[in-house]
Amino acid sequence: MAGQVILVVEDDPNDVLLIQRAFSKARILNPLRTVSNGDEAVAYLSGEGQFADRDIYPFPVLVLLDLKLPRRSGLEVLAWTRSQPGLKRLPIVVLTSSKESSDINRAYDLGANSYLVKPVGFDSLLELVKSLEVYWMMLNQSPDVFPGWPTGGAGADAKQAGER
Amino acid sequence: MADSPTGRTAPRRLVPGISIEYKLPIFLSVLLLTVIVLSSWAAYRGVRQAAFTTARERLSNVTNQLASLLRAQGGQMGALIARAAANDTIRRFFESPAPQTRLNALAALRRMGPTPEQVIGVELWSAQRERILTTLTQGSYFGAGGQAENVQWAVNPDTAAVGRIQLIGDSLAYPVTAVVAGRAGVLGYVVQWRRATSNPRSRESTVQLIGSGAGLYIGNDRGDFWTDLLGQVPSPPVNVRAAKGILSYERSGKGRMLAAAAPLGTLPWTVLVEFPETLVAAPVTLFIHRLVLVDLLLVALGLLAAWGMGRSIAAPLRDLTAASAAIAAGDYSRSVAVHRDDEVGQLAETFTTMAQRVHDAQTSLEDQVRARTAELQERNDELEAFGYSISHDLRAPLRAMQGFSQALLEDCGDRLDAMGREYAERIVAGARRMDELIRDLLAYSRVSRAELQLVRVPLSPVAQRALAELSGALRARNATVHVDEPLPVVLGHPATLSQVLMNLLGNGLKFVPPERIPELRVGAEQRDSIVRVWVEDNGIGIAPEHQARIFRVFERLHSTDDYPGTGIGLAIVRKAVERMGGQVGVESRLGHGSRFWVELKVAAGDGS
Repeated sequence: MAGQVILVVEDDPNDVLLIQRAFSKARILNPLRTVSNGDEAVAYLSGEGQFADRDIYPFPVLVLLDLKLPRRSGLEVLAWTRSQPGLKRLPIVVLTSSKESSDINRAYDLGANSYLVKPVGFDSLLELVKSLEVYWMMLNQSPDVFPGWPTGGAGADAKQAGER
Repeated sequence: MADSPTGRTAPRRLVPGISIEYKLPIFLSVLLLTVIVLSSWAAYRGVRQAAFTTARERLSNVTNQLASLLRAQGGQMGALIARAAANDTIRRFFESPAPQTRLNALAALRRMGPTPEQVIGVELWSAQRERILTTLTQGSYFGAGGQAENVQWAVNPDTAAVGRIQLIGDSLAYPVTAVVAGRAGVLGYVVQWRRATSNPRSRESTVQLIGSGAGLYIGNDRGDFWTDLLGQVPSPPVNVRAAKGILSYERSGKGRMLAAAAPLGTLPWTVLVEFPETLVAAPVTLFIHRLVLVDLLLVALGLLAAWGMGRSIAAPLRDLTAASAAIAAGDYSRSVAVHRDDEVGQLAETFTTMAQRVHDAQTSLEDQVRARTAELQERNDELEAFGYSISHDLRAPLRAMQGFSQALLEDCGDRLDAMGREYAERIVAGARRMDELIRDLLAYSRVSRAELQLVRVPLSPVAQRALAELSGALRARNATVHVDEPLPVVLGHPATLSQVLMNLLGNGLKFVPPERIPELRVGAEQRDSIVRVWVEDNGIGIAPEHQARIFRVFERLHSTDDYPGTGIGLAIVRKAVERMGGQVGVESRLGHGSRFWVELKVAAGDGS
């Protein structure tokens, strides 16, 4: 359980820091990996470039995805993920500051599993993170995900399978 | 949304009651017919009257001339026979009747008749008026029944007397008597029986004189015998001798007759001339026939002319109407092909110009609207981008301020003195307040811009949900809430309605002085198709002069220290209710609480 990585896609270093603090305050042991833009998120999920080493950058069990990102937006990342046969079941929770119903509806249309708004108060953030852990890490039953299949390399696939 | 404005209805009456094309001819022909019938009637009356007047004059003239002719002939004939009677042979026979003188007298009589044309026979009668000698055969005489009393006896030896017409055998004849005078007075009489008929040829020439078609009759003054000079005819149906002037009667089998009769003085006869009225009226009938023919021709011509005229007016009008209808339907390509110099042509020309102007105006208007719409859309997009930017970008630094000052307090609190901690707390409070401001502004802009689909919304669950959302705040103030169930069903947008009720309840809760326990009450009343929902509190109330201001954005009556808030809550309520087609208001007394109300439309099918 402790080894299951959560990928945080977030461009604001303040928010990254606050999320990390909330995770540690909530005593959640899952390691966090962060990327700061959409392209990096795609690269991480496909295990390419600097993220090729799955020992350092293991495939995540949950993605916390901001919508407003440099280069590729969160919605684009979402759309890309859902178009990958091996990744389309990956649980993705949108965590963003927008409360616009257009954003909410679009995210669900593209296949987001949940949509959360970043609270301003830290206490609220703490509560949110705790709920996230309880729900997604303890209660929720994870689906089978096959990263890299069928487009990814066979080696990455084998390594991932071995880890599991 | 329920009563959308009814669309423009183009005036499409291309088939009105009756077209001018037909109206004009109908009107004109009715007029023409009336005039023609009236004038023809008058003309007919006039011509007929003139014809009959002429006929009467002619009839009377002819009759009088005939009468005087017959009188003259009668006189001559009488003189002739009187001279023949003054015959010595005949006188001798009267003075000394002997076989020889008798034979001589008979021979003398035979010289006077019979003749094949006019005389049937001649007789001698005694002074005692007994027949003593005759040239007539016995049979024919007795068969005819010539009677002595039917004979007019002459008195004067110079003139003979003409008697009445009677049947002698199968002939119509009349006696003419002349006196045979001796020295001692009247010895006897010569009676010549003359035919009352003439041969067809001479009769025809006489009738021709009067006028063809006319009838010429001679009858006894007593009216017992009438002849048309060919044979015996029935008497006329009136007593022509008693009547004066022109007669008019029906002769059986021959129709209506105009007739004139004249006595013949010494002759015991009456002459009668008849003109058949059909004959008199024949030229009139001919005239009226021709008139009717001409009139019909005139009506036909008038009809044709009126139809042509109506058509020449109606056809371009129809074109204009069709073009107008096309323009009303938005088709400006229709042109009116009327090239005339008269009023219709001017109308068409003006119409074309007008249509062109309207078209130009509409095109330029459409262009303008399009440009403005695009401009507006651009502004709207900018505004949306602005709102989006606020919701994302402005909040991120807020979260940092808030999160890190809290982290500072929690993680490094032991190294801060009281002043440092207070500063950090003030940063937290400021950040929270700014977050609330941004949240409310976004809510206001959302409610202003968002497309609100109005549906049937039962208010009770909406109120319950709003109360559930506020349950924390309500508990904190120990407030009591009473809802006058059941609340009605209105036409609205569920999420927006929920926000409205929440804002009103939150507002009511907020403006209760701290020492007072808040009492809130929610209710509704329906008037016709409007539902008024109200939220009542026992708060500080609002002075009348401020009541209009509180629904505006950023309007606050109190400092945030006394009553925290952004000043946008009621503005959101007003904007939201207006977007749902309703209105808002407040009734309040300073110090005694307020009653905020919103009016919404009753959902269709839920009216009382």
